[in-house]
Order: sequence, then C-alpha cells, then structure tokens
Amino acid sequence: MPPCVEITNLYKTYNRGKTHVLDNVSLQINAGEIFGLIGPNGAGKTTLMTSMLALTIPNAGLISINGFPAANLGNRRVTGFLPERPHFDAWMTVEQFLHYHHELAGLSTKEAEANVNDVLTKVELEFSVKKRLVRRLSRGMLQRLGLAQVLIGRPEICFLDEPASGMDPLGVQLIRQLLLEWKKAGTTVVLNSHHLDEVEKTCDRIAFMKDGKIRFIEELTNIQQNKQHLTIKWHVDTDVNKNIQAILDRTASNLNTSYTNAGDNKATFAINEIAAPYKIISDLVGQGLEIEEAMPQKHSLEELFRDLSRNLKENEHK
Amino acid sequence: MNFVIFKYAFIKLTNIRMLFGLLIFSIIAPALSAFMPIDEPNQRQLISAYITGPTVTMLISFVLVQDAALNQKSLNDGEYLALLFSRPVIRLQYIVSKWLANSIIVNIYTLLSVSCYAIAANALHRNIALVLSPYTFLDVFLNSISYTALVIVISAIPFKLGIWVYMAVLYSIMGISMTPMMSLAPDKYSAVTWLGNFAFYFATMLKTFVVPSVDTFSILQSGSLLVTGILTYASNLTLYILFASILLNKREFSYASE
Repeated sequence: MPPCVEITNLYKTYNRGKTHVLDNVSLQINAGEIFGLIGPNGAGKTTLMTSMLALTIPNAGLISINGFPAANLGNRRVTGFLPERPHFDAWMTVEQFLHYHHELAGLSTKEAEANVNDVLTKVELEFSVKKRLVRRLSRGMLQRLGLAQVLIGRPEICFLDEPASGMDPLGVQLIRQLLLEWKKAGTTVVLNSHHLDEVEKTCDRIAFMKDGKIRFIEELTNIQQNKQHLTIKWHVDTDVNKNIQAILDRTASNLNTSYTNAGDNKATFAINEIAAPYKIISDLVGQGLEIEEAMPQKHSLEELFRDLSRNLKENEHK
Repeated sequence: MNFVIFKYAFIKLTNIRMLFGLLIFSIIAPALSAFMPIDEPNQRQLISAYITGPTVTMLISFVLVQDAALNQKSLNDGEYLALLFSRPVIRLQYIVSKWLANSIIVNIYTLLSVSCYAIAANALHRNIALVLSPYTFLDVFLNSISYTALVIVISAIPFKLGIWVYMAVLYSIMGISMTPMMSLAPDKYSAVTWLGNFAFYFATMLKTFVVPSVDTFSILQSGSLLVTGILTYASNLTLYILFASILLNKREFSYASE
C-alpha cells in the first residue's frame, strides 16, 4: 500500500524552545490502514495529530498528505477530524450542526438531508435528537455527534483523537464497529487512544510515543505473535513440588526459553516458536509433572505498553 | 467570502435569545438615557457621544463576535476553531464573512439604538438637534462597520488574552468619547494639568489611529477633507481585516498549544 501520510524529521517546541513536544518524528501511514498512536499523557500524540491537520505549525520537518503539504487546503476535503475535547456550536440544533459541516465540507445541499439521516443512523443517535440544541446533549451523545460530523464529510483519511472518551460500553462498541467499517471501505484512520483493547482489536500498526519521540512502530500481528506465552498449572504433588524449581529450570534450559514462576502451582513460559507449547508440555510431563491446565496467551498491548514504559524509564535512570 | 460561514454567523446572530437581550439593550437603555437632565451643553454632548460613539457599538459587537465567550462552557475558543479549520475554510474568508455578518447585525442594533434615543429625546422635548442630524446616522452606520472590524481583530487573539486587550481598548475608548469635551489646559507647569493634557493627547492619538471614525459632515462640507477621510477609513478597514487574518494564521489550534 502506498503511504498517504508521510512525516519526515518533525520538530515542535513550545515555551520558546524550552519544551520539546515533538522530537525528530518520522513515520509513514499507508493508505487504507488503521494506525494507532499510543503513549503516556504528554507524549506528543495530539500535537502530532494536529500537525498532520496543519492546525499546529511545526518548527521543522515535513508532512505530506497524499503527496501535498499538510497545509494544502485540498487535503481538508479528504480528511475528517474528531478532536479530543470537542467544543461544538452549542447554540445550533443537532440537525443545523450537521448541515453546517456538510456545507463546510463543500458537499451539495441537495443531498444534505439524506446524508444527515444516514450519519445519525450510523452513530446510533435517534432522529428525535435532530431538533435538540447541541448544548443539551450529554457527553456521550456529543461524542457520537462528533463522529457523525467526521462521517458527514465522507473522508478518505480520519483523524480521531480519543474517540471513546466519555462513551458508555455501547458507544465504545460503536467506535469499534465504525473503525472496522472504515477498514473494510479502505479509509485510512489515525487513531489516538488510551483504550488499548480497542487499539488492539482494530489497528493494523501502532506507534508508541514518549517524550515527543516515536520509540516503537510495529504491526500488531507481529507484536502478538512475538510475544506469546504459555501458562502451565500443575497438580499438587508433594514429591514433585520439592523439585519444581529444578524441573522448570531444566525445561527452560532444554528448550532455550525463559519462564516466570507465578506461584500457586503456575508458571508462565515465553514462546519463541510455533511448536514451543507442545515441546514445553512434553518436557514437563517427561519429568513427571502432572499438568492440569496449559493456556497459551498473546501478549496484550497493555503489557507491551507497560513493558515499554518501564524499559524507557530504566534506560533514563541508567 | 465564505457563504456558509456568513450564513451560519447570520443565523447565530439572529438567535432569538440574542435578539431579545440586545433589543432590550438597543431600545430600553438609549430611551432611558433620554430622560437624563441635559441642561449643560457638555452633558448633552456626552450623552450623544455615548449613544453614537464606539463604546456601545463595541460592546454589542463583542457580544456577537466571540466564538467562545457566550456560547461555550469553556473559554478556550481554540478548541472550537480547531474543528472549523479542519474543514476547507480559508482563514481570511472566515474573517471577512464573520465581519460582514456581524457588521449588518451590529448596524441594525446601533441604528435602532440611535433612533430610539432620538425619538425618546424628541418626545421629551430635549434639545438634541445640535448633536443628532442625518449625518449622525450615516456616521453611526460607517463607524459600526469599522468598530466591528476592530472587534474582529481582537477576536482573532486567543480568547483568554483577547478579553484583556478588549478591556484595555474599551477603557481607552471611553476616554476617546470624552475628547469632544476636552481641551488643553493653559497652565503647563502643574503636574495635574500635565497629566490631564497627556490623557487628552493619548485619547486623541488613539482615536486617530486605533479607532478611526468618519465625520461625514466634514467630508461632505469640505472638499479638501474628502479624499483624506475616505482614504483613512478605507485603509484602516483593510488593515484591520488583514491584521485579523495574519493573527489567525499565526495561531495554532490545539489544546496543547493554548
């Protein structure tokens, strides 16, 4: 897939250069992919997103959207944006607000009514709210309206900054559904989210940001495959239990892997090849261990997030 | 001009709550001021300067122009504008459209305000003929357009800073409104008169350069003033709009930058 967003050596500072928000950021986002931006608060994710939309002016570096500079007005005909803290025109009705954005996107007024109804259905807002003032909407409804506003411009590239913020579980499910629909339709999505389970279920690739730098970019399937592990639970047997440490050490050594003793008759082995679970179980059984449960598990994004944050912190201390 | 921005700015400005509040402001307040005793010529001029001058116009236009102040829970207009400028909207077009829509509404309010004052004062047999003439209405119309442009410049500044700039300009303008009644004190050796003279010069300078207004009577009566007056007015309007556009182009719309 060709890249539709290209960022090269991007720098952004605030406070007259004292605060580095983006520090030599370079990345490419392919057309049709769902790209997740994750990282702790203050990592620079929102600034990176607003830079792609030319709402923030970088100090140095290049951003191109479909080959054009980020500030090119034409880009805004193909992009949609949901800010983290949406402040909509509170005096408008829901219907007026969507008509307004339909017209701002340069779409024909003839098809506005049908499009408004269509996006309201997609974000599961009842037609009865059409005449309601925006200021009367709850936080979750405002977020749905924000999504409707993104949809109404029929974007090719969507920038979503914390779309699940303030949403109930049904709302979170709706976002997942929309993201999967976008993926199916070939729409590019840049998703900034702290809901790592949502990122894990929908994104093709993720970038982990910290202190304005991209520390890690990887395809999600690679992360999940490379970081699988097998949790073993064994039957309590006094004779074997006396030697359990030696048994686990021997298996780890035989199969060139590592493990952590989780206590409560459980240990978790790292999996380094497809056949590893079978080999681990066979080796343990061969040493006389009575296995009650063997559960392969994928490394969750949350664990990766925690590990990366911890490693970076340790490196900083060194 | 962006017609969509113009249309929705106009719809916003004709919002029923806004209309109701400002109609009270435009009808009741000026009508009540006609009841004030105006025996002294200076008092008469003062009231007239207040009604036809920039103070009322700027108060009305500030209420109308702000994106954040009166219709958002947050005072951070940057977050509102972020969404707007993620659409294909040229910032200069946004400024021009907003200015035109606001100028029309502000003119309706200020002309209504002046008319109410004139009607009430005539009904009460106040002698206002000296200060209210057909030229006054033309001045009010043209000046409302330029004062709104000044407010548009202020509205291009981030709201939290803009509110201070607005207050400073408004207080200065109140001083400007007094200039027709001021004159330089002859005693230049007293500190008090020196300060008074300084205030007079400052207000006059501000009136000339920051809040220029048209005196149609002078322009139409004196051929020599015609070109200068029109040029000053037109160049100031252009500068205000350009300056507002530059300010808006320099701004970043992200909560991280605010």
